[in-house]
Amino acid sequence: MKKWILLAEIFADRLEKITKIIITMCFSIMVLAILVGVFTRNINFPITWLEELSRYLQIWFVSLGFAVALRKGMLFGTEIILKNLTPKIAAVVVFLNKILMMLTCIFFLYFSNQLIHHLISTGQRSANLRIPIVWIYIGIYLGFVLAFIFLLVSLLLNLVGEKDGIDRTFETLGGTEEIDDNLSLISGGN
Amino acid sequence: MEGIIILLFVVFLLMGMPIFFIMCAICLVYFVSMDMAPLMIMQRMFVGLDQFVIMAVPMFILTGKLMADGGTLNRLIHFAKVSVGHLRGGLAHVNVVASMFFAGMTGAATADVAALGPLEIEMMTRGGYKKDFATAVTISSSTIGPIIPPSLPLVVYGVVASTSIGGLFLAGIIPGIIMGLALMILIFFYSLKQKIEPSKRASVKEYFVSLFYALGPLGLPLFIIIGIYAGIFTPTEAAALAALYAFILGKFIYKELKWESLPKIFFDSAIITAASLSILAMSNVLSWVFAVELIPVKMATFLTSITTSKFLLLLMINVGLLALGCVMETLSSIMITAPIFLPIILQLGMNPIQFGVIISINLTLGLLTPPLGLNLFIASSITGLKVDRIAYANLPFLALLFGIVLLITYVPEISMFLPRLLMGIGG
Repeated sequence: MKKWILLAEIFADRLEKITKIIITMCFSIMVLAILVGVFTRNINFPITWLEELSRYLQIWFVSLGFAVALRKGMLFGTEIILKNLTPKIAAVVVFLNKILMMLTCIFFLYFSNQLIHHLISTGQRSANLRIPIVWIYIGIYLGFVLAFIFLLVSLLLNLVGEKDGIDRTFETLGGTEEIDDNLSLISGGN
Repeated sequence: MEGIIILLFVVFLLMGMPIFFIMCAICLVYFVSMDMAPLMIMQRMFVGLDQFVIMAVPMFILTGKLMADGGTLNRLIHFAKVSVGHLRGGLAHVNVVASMFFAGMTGAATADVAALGPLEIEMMTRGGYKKDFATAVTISSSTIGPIIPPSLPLVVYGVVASTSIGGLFLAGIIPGIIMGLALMILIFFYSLKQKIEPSKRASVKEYFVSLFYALGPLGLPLFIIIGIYAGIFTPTEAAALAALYAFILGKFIYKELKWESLPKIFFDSAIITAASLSILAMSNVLSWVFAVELIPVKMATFLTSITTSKFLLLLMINVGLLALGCVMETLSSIMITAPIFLPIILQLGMNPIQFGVIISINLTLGLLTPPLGLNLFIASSITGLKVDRIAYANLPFLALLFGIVLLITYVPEISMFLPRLLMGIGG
């Protein structure tokens, strides 16, 4: 059993790595698109689709990025109560948290299916790039799918007594190791 | 209905659930229970993110990271040293002034502590200052970062409240300088007791050499403000150009930035942005719920039923914000509270720009207070001091900073002078 769960963790790691590459690419192209947009606008040769492109890339990298941020323990919460609980009860609350977050993902995805279907059937396209608008929405959808997978893997790991990045969300006040990690993230990764 | 929503919000918050999921969960509960189509959540998230103006957030985060990696920090600290190092309490003043300089490059207080903190605290302890005093000065001065432009809280407020970001940037300048000066005055009185000899005054030549090296990063805020003010570019474009500027400075002038570190800088900026903007997307759903449920109106009725005095109402709002800042992260608190308080503020006859400055400073102070003062934890991991001890050493500074928030609240001229003078706003 434990072997399978550890395999699932490797799978989640891979998934995170691929997502990381996509996010970095979206972000880089977005920066370039904005800069080129400023330049072309000021030489009176505006390229209108550049702005739309950068906006859509932002939706993609934020949607996927929130799932990765979750796995890195970087989504903000508060730990007033957790800090003062005994480790056993705190573990139960964390478990409950993860279940609730997974339920949130499931319901969100369930209800959003209708919107995705609707957008596919109407074939609505974006104003400038003329791409089907559903492709942008799929970014948000995928973000929640990823979050669900990461949460599930984290929950399974907890069951066999292991922890992963998501657990850092609930223990910012406890250790110092994860603060060092986040610190290097905030300060520019030295 | 709002009873259940508030109850769920508090329970989830106390359970330690990330704000993003709390907001998503209560929106789902609301839509299902009201028999409305929950697919609106995704739709409104899309609309929330589909705005050119909020792209200023990732761009300013990127600028700060490029600046920190590009070798500007030591140059700024050195320039601060030759400028104020000879005053009584010298190195503590250097700490404040360096933070004010750095504020012009990044819009986040946490970035200030994380990047400048280790250098500043070491410099001060080596100079004979107590470690907890050095740490307190470092985290207090970091709160100037989000108020001197460019400022992330002001950008986010500008988006949520549909207020001119250029105007907000101008409005932040004087309050930021006042915060810095007030901290320096407090430090002066402290250092009378500590009997630490200030360093020697730098020669004129030394001063100008240091100024020359620091010109690059110092020019950035000027470039941004003038650019936006003159209407040459929008805040987002200014932010993108600022990132380009930081890149050129670090890569070709200081030559400390490496090509291979770029992907990591981009990814880190993207993740930090995602952690904040995902909440912005969700708050776009929540503020719609607030509007439908008439929460701002109910809040206004509730507050005015307690008192009708403008003075007391503003005091209550400020104390409430301070308490909220203690348990919630700055940007998410702005996104949630700005739509609730804005109608009340307008009723009281306050300009939304002034309120933006107040809410930004006030909620940033939450970074200095337990239980969720992120800057306390960063400082604690830098110095190895206990969080409680830093918070205690920091109390006088916190009191002073909250005093300044009240000053800005009751004296509109402090924040409104520049926007009125230069943009004719709120005349």
